[in-house]
Amino acid sequence: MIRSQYLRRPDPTLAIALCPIVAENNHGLVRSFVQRCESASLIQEVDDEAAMFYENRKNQFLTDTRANVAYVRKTFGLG
Amino acid sequence: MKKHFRVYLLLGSSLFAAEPGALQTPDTLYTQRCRQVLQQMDSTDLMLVASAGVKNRCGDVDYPYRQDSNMLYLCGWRHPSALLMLSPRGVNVGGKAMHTICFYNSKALESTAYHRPPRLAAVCDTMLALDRFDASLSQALSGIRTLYYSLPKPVFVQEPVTGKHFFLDRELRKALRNQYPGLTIKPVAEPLNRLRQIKSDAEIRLLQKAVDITAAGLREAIKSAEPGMYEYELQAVIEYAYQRFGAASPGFPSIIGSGPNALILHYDDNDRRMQAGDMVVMDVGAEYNGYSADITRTIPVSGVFTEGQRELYEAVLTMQKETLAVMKPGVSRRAVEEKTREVCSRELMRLGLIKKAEEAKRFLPHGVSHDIGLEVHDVSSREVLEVGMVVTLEPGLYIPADDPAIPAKYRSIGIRIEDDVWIVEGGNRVITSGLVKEVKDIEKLMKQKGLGNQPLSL
Repeated sequence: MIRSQYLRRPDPTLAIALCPIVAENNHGLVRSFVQRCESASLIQEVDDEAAMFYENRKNQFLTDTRANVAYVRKTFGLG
Repeated sequence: MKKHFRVYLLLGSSLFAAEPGALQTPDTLYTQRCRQVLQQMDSTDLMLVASAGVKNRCGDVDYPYRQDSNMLYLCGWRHPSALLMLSPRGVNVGGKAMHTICFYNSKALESTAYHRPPRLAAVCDTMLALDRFDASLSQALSGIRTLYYSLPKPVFVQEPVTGKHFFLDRELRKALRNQYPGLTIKPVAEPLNRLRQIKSDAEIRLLQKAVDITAAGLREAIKSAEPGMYEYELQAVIEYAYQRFGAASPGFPSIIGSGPNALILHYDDNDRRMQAGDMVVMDVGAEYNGYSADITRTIPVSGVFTEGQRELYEAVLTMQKETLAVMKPGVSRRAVEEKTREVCSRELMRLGLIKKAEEAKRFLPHGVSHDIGLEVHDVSSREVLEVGMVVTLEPGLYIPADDPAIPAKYRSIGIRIEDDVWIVEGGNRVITSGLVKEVKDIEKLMKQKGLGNQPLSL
């Protein structure tokens, strides 16, 4: 079984780490993003690492939510 | 008191309720793994590993239970409602310092008319009923600076009506920090993933058994395939072999994709009626004693490859063989991937399907290797192949139906060939080599009848 291409993207951990931030800002993007990640088992695969990554960098992310959303959109090809 | 007496009677029993002759993970291996983890930790560390939760289907019917892989790895406990505690410093139980403690649901040990009670592991220093967990945790966390703990999956829940998202891990962290200020919480993956990635001889034997069972099913499916059959009939033949040989279940949903479905990478509807001239991709894997195989074979439904099918198939096989030749300790995963893509480009140019090497990605849109083990996409934290790793190698080609620039003989064909590769000193061993994959061998095998050709009426 092929490992989903989402895990081959440059930095899935970062994108997952951004989820809470996007969610907190009530951005509609997160729903389709999370659904796609879930179907690719991405959340199950990287949640531990993502949690740490998020904890370490959340202050940095929180300073520019718009840029983060743009990053997620670009990285995962979400329109 | 009565319950605890029963516990100690059971402590010496075998870990799993396995059939005679079934392969098992030896208890000594669990003990050794716990010891390895404890040695990696500081005296101010504590680790908790929880059983996976039960997923309810309706009323009193649950989905088949699958234990958390870290729990399986460390102690083999296969039942819900349990916690494993690892403490390098030791937790005082009855005046003795216990380093590995399994907290279990004592009610589950009571046999009922509906459920068989679990057998208990002999691999922990002690086993305690769950109602002693809170007191033990308070004692164990005193002076602890780092807690390794990961919530059972899923850690994320989306409420469908409001669309609200709940991140359980974040809530847990908050709660634990409130209760134990100064405590750092880290995922158990940090110390465990590197251990899990290197397979012991006992694990190789279990993986080999999962592979052999999967290969037996695939062999019957290859013999059985013929135009007019449904994809699910091949699935039934393959999964019959799983049950027949003691594999608990598929390690992942079986992918039986014929014709245009062969181009859908994670297709698992398996409900199309196969036609003469189709190729069918069968990407399957039995889970045996927790370990999952992952094998793909692609065959012509009619029993003979057309010219276009054979040319593409030989190209994929060449990609696989040349990549296998470079897989050895010290080689990076990236190098493995690049080798496949290099051969892919060369083969596609030879067939006239592309003009530039970078165009090949269009026909091979996925990665070609991942670890296998307790999960079909097993933990992976090493960028370089090492002795003891077991990984897949699964190149493919997927030619769309709707591109008039592509010669008609190649259109709407999906091909993937996947084998499981054990990295050993100086090279590798293909543990799936017992299953045919050369064109002539597939065509020869397809001349035979298989289990799926046996008459069966409603």
